[in-house]
Amino acid sequence: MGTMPRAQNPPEDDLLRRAARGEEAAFVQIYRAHQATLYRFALRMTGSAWNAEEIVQESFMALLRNAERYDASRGELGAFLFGMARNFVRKRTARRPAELPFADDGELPHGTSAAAHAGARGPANPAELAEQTQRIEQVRRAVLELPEEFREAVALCDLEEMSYEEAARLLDCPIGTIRSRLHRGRTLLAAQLEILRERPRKAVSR
Amino acid sequence: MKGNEEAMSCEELQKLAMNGKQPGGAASDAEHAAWEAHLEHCANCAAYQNTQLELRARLRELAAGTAAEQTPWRIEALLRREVAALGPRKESPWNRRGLALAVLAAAAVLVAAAVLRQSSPYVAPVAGVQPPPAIAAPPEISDSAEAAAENATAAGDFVLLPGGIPDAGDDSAILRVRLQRGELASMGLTVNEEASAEWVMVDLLVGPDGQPQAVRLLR
Repeated sequence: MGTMPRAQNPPEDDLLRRAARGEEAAFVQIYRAHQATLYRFALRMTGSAWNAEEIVQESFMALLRNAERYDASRGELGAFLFGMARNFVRKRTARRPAELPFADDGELPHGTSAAAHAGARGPANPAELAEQTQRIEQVRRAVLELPEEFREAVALCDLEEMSYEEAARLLDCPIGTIRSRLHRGRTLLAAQLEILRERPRKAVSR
Repeated sequence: MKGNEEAMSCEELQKLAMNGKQPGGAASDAEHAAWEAHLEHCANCAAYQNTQLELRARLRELAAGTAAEQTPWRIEALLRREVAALGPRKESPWNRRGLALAVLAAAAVLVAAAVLRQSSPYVAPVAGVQPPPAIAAPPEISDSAEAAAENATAAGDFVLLPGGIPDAGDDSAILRVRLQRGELASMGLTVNEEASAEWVMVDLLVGPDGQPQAVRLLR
């Protein structure tokens, strides 16, 4: 994971044209190549599985309606689709801030699985798992509280593990902007998560 | 900061860190050594480094916990229905235009029949045109419209199309046509998409304005 997937054959612009004409198999190929990345981005930006589902659905509907607007020579279909998803995310987050569902029951919301993570690393005892769950939830909330531009950079570079170049292409901005947003986002996150405590109050430079 | 000052400054180290580099990922051995040496002597950069490492670890934990997340299957199913609805209408011979032509033809037959009936009360009925039958009440839930049409078939009843007039009067007529189930969707009925390509015989009850008012599926 980490990059917007690219179909090799047939080209995505051809697939898109066929999908817009009602060819289900072509649509499915496009959908399955991009849905997971869009969903996770929307989930991390809105904090709500329900909103993320809606955003994915709206994005693909918009893609079908505006298929003729896609020009393969100007960029990948993934980036085109991502731009649409981003607009839908913004519409939702403009109406209301990112959601921070549940709090005290010790369980993670839909979209966050400490058990899955622990399982990937090896067995963990219940106490470790509970601690990890709490830690993950703390980070998830801190990410949701970041300003939108910083949150986008963190979601793409740190959580989807995209390169700065890929994130810049998707967000349609210079690499330097991504770097700067990421740096500021991480600084805010560190402060939120209170992992700056051991840092001297004043920078010591030569 | 002491020693190794020439090798790496605080600003240089933080710039490298901002670019996503870690001591282990330094461009060269010399850069790595300079980085490590700087951290040994600069508490500020060492704290910065530790903060970044801890933060990255916690972000990775979150990323791993959500890496397998995907859009629920129902969204794909819903979108596939939307896409399928885009297709057959354009490719089927019974598209909107075809249906309009059929309705116009039926209207022409009706007009001719009416003229003949008025000019001679003893003229034989025109083939394919029958007196209007009873019309079943329209289904309230659109999803069940096609099923209702099929059920009504057993009783020989017509099912009113959305927007159809319940009592079209004596000037309405029946037009028997063969079409694909998917075409019933263009008349406002909800059709089971799995059977949308299936050919069926239907009776269309055509009103005096030439518009289909009701439909009856024939088995």
